[in-house]
Amino acid sequence: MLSEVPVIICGFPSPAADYKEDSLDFNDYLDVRRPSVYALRARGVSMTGAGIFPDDIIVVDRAKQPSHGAIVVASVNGSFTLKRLLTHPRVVLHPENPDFPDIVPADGEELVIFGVVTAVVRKL
Amino acid sequence: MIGLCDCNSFYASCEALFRPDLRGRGIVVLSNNDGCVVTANREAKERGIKRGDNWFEVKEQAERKGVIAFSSNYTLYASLSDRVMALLSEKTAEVMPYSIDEAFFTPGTAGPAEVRYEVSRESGIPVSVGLGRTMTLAKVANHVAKKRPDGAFTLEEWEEDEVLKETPVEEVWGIGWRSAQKLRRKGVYTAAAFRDLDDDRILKEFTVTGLRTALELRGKNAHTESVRNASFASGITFGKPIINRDDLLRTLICHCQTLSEKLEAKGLEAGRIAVSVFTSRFRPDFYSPFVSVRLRHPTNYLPIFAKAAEAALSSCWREGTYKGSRVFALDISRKGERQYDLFYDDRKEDEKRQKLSAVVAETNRKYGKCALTTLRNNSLTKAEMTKAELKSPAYTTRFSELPVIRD
Repeated sequence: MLSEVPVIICGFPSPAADYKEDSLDFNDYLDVRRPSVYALRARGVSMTGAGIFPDDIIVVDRAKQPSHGAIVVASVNGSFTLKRLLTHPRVVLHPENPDFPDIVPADGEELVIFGVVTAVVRKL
Repeated sequence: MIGLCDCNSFYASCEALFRPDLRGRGIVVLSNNDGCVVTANREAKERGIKRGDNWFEVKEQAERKGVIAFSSNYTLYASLSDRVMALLSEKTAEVMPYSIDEAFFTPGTAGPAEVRYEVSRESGIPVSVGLGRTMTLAKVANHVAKKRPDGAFTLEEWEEDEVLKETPVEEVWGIGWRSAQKLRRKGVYTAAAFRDLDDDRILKEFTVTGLRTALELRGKNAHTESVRNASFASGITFGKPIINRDDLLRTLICHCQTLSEKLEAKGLEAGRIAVSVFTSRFRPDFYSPFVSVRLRHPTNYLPIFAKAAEAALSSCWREGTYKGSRVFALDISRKGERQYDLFYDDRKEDEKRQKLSAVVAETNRKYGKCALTTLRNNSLTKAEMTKAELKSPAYTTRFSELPVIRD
């Protein structure tokens, strides 16, 4: 019956409304809103073996404990460097590129770690 | 106990964060237009350059001694300040920002040394933490903390006498340079001596402000919001958690309204608005951002507060079950003290705003709080143009200026 057809068409809920979710939130996914998280720009090629290339944005968390095998931003001789931290058998900063040597802190030299890398962001 | 968390040479520490090459070097930060030194770190002070020096007078000496100078980079400082405040609010029960680099707090489960260590490490900005029975005693404790290797100190009641006897009277919070001179002439050299003066005498010579300071030194909380004038807060813990962003924003605008009216009633204006929202701290996804927005001019005009609060919320919003919200009015100044902009005289505009504010306040008195509020449809105003030749990059707020790592 025509009289039973709902008249207020524009008020009819979309059948998809129940399934609608908010769009993807990459800030959330990368956890970059944490007050301990900083973004830095990589320029070198010493970590290409770990998938970090020049101009990549790297996400660094200062709250994460730097542990064996973590990729870290460290300051060496007054500049930042991006390397893999190995704590045993001894502490070294290991590049993931055969063209670069390991950085071994001299005895008594303090290794200052800025933070632990948690993500890499690259637009193609 | 009340805590005070204070960033060490804050502006200089901000400049050093992404410059490992500056480790151990003297750093100074200059005022707007590179006029004078507003912050000097310890190394700069050791080289004879101090806060307040005219830059053109000390420039040569600074360069000779390897002290590096920066123009003020308030975008960077505000961004890092927000991180420090957010971390502090994660690690304590409640935070009350006092200035860009200091906040009072109510301790939670973490002790002062732990708070000091974690906030410093996670933000990258070194802080000191002092705990005392009152705000003034917390300030004293913070002075002591700054001289200790662990950067933290709790001033227990039984130690107060000893510590206050060693604290010069001019170091006491609330005793200005002029009052200190006057006290010294009368033979009052230490905080303890001031504390023990006769109430009547303090009242006569240093008014009620002086008396409050003395009471605070005796362990009685005498500083209320009205005398501090440092910052104002309006906040609530929700009866029912809020998950909707618009609802959350509405609570913020209500806080803005409270603050706008409070400031107007006291003849004050704010230079910065900060927003803090928080989820349950007992959940693993605990989230408590703190975001501040610098206003173009100090004001107490509600629509500007609301715009700032909305901008702050959009920069930190994420899905969540929110338990409460707060808005802070910071960088408080007395109305009429500010200078009008040379290029943009807004006195006329101000008069219009005054009238509108009065109407809004009246309507809300009649129809209930937040009956009449603001339509948020303007974008935030642009920053002023100032001379800043030695300014560092906006490391934390612009993709084009991220700190760079080479090999």
